[in-house]
Amino acid sequence: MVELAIGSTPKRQIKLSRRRMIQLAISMSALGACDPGGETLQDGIAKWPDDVPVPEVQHAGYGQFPDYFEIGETGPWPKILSSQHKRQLEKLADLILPATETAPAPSEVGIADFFDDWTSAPYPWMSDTRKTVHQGFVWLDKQAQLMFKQNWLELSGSQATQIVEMMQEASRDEGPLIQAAWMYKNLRELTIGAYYTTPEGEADLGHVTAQPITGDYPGPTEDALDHVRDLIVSLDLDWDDLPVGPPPYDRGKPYVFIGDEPK
Amino acid sequence: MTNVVNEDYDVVVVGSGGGGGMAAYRLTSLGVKVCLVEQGPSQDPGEIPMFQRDNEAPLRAVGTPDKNWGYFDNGICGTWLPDQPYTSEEGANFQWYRAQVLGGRTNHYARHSPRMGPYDFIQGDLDGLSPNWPVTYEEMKPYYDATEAVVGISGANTGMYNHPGTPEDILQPAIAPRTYELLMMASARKVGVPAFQRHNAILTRNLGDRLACFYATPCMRGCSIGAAFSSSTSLIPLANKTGKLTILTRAKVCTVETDKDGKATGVTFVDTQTGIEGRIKSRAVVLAASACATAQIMLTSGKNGSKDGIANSSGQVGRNLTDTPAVRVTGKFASLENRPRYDEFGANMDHVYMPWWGYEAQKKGTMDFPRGYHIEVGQGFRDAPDLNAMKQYSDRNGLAFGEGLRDEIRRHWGSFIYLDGRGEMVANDKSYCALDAEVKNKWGYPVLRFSFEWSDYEYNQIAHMQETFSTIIERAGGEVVSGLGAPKDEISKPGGMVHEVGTTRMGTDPDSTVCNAYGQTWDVDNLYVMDGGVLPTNPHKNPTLHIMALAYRNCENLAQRLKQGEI
Repeated sequence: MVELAIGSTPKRQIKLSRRRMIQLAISMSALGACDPGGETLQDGIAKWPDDVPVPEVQHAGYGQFPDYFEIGETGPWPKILSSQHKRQLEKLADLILPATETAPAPSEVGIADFFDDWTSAPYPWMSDTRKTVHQGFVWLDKQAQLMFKQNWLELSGSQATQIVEMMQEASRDEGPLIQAAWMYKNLRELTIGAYYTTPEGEADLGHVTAQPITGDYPGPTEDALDHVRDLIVSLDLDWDDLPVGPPPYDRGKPYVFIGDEPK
Repeated sequence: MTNVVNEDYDVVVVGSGGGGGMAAYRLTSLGVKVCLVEQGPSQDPGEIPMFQRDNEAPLRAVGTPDKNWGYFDNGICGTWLPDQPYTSEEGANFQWYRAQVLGGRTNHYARHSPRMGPYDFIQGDLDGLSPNWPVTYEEMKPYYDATEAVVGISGANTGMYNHPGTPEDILQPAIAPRTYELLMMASARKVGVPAFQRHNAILTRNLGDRLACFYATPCMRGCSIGAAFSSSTSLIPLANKTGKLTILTRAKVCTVETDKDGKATGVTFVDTQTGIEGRIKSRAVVLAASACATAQIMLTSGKNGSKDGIANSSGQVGRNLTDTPAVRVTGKFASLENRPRYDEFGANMDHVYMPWWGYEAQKKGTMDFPRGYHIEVGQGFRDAPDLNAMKQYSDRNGLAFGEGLRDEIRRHWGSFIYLDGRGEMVANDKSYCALDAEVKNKWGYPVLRFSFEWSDYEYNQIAHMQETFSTIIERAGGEVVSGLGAPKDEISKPGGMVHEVGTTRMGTDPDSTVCNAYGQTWDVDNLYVMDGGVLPTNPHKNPTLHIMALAYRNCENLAQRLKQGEI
């Protein structure tokens, strides 16, 4: 049985099995949710709203030789996401990467603007995400209504987490939640990718952003060298003939390749 | 409507990359009046987007149909260029990356600059699977020296026979290896694979007007201070200083024109912005448009659009097309999780490599592939995070979300190392480019149609790489996480390494080669080829340096013949 860690409850970790989750969904829908117009599939899962229209985007793109310096605040193409879409995306993104004491949430570093840019882009490679946003948040509202009689934006943190848990679990198989599973995978991947490409995300990774250096590249810092030297020595590899640090490389013994070589 | 460029040029050079840039520099230095024609736009070095972050670009700078390799892939670049399609035979799936901007692909390349060694010129004698080159290493050595003195090379010499060094007065100091590079060097050496700091066309000391690297911006976008070599910052400015150079950009050369005696009289071109056609007259023509584009121009030229083209009595124009077979094997290192952070960017490109070591074994026939490869070492936390790369760090725990995911990503960041194999393909009959009988480009000229197949030589080499890389990764305590599938599945896509060469190869036999030892076509004595098309073989040593060294040498021949009135 697959055990899932529900992540957004800071004080205690709740473990829910897939079966328990589905049971939960069924009981919630059975408890009170009505089903106007055959909107549910089995197991209390809302039907994916394939009929929700996805806006068409008409724009020539940024071209093959754009101005790299005047990209502009608003970007090359008109933006299509509503403020409601943006808030819905922010809520999901902030569940995926919640803020910590030292790192801001995705909503604080412009994740909504990123998705607006992405889903408004006139390229086929981004159109699947446009579709998943426009139909997916309608589905999320329906699922939230089934389970909690409220829309996605009105859900508490733990309620929203339960739905995202369902989507995460569904991403492991090809069940009735296949579109919701893809929505989870795609928006999660983009949230993470977009977040860590911000300066705040880089800082949270501990990435040391390169700054212009005068003189030779110094190479690894002392603690980084200590770490790799200890590792190399512990693996019974040779440290003394490696070219360490900036030139000149006159420390240790010289390395000469002795092998399958004409003399 | 036709635009005639009426200037009286000695030489038209087609293409401004490594070959064309070097030709323009060398010819103008020797007093020759040159018109350099580039299909892409001009670009002032100050306009190179060096410092922009991915999150300042649309879509976090990821690839799109407009910019296949990402927003900051500088120039009109990609495998898919809407105005200039190409076709492939079924199954060939050839990737034809083009970089159209002043300086061409030298704006983008990895700057890895190993010399060819004595063996690389005599494969005909060693295994008989390719002809010998019409020159030897001894003949080329002074031209490597001269080329490297202009280009600027940093690194360390290996001391190995077939990996010749650079004279100490030319070679600039090597760059300090990163920690993951040190680990891979130590492991490789322990299992009998040589490992050294590699030669890069990246300055660690000032050279002329160009400045030493400041170790902070991606070389693949270009380098406005000229630390990372490119033709546009490092050769064309030198040519400009002679007062002998004219540059024509946004001009796509379509054909080489000839007179009734079959001599080249210049080229025709189309202005890519207006579609207006033009003509440039000259005493000689140098084609350096890149191997396949040069073949395309030659096949399109000739009397009445003859399908055999110009300078093609051998029938070899477009044939012998090779690319570099490659595979990537990635290791995960628990010992590197949460390792100490530092500025690992360095000179952006690899600082170390493992050159081929199995020459004697191949001579003895104990290996099931005839040619060598080298190993490149990548990843760590060298590059800033990019949108597509984050999956590797975030998806290792069942697509988790919520609290804990940040720690997970931080822990894995920098704990992978990949080894990239870069091999040598043996030319075969099934790999070539030819004119497509039906499809035309935007301006009505036939496009190229590619045929391509790897052979068992390449697949066996890939298998050897996989085994070797696994050994190195595991000896260093890592666990291989990808790259060990069947060689047919793991080998790079044809054209994917952007090392396509051989389509107008040089040699000693006019019946089986297109050019002589000076890149002069056998059939048209004032038509020269100075790009990768002339390389008779495609050793694992990245092509750019050899293209430039040959151009350096062959321009002396061309200039002398012009001076003596032979042309």
